[in-house]
Amino acid sequence: MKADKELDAQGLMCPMPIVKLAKEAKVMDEGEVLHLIVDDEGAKEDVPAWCNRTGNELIKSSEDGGKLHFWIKMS
Amino acid sequence: MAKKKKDDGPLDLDAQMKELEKRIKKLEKDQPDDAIAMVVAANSFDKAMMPFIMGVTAASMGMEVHIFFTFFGINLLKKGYSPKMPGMYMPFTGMMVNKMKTLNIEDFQGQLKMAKELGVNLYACNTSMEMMGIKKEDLTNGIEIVGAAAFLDMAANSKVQLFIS
Repeated sequence: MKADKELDAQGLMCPMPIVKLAKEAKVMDEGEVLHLIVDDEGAKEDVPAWCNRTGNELIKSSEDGGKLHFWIKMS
Repeated sequence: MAKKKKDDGPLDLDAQMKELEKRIKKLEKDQPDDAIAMVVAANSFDKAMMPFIMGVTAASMGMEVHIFFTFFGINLLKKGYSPKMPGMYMPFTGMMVNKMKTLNIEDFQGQLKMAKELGVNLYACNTSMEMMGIKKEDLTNGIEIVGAAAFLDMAANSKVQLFIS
């Protein structure tokens, strides 16, 4: 899936992927898509919760091995 | 025979609408903010890390964060303070700090710095400062000294309140 930016937060534990995601979201433009990669299992629920709270749209998520991928459209 | 009630007269839609508007405005004003208020009353390692991790997360989720430090918790705001594991676990503090390092988790001072960068509001209880003999210049920068009433006002307007002791 096409993304405007990629954020690799592997090796980071809760809540750091969310903190990094929030920082990135601040500098991205509306409508841009961020591809987030994490290996912290907590992110499975945390990233959708962050999107729900902040009003950014989670358009796709997938899992391969221990890696979680999220595509988030900024609003 | 039952008395005729006042409002049994013809419907005054305009007046009702105005009344509703007034009530909605009041409700909106009383609605709590998307904020979290925490009280930290202890200074051990576990009780120090939790509110910061929670606070940093909440700030990242766009919430307003207020953390009020009181009693022993006030020690956490001293310049360069590093909390120890509680009671008999104290000798294991170094082990825990090392473990956190291998897990890429910021130490206490790192958490504090991050919280400040993210705009987390940190408050010191003025009475506790007196009790513990801590002066304003002993505290790390960016701390607001407030009383209980000021904090309670913020807590009353926050959706989430936590007490850590």
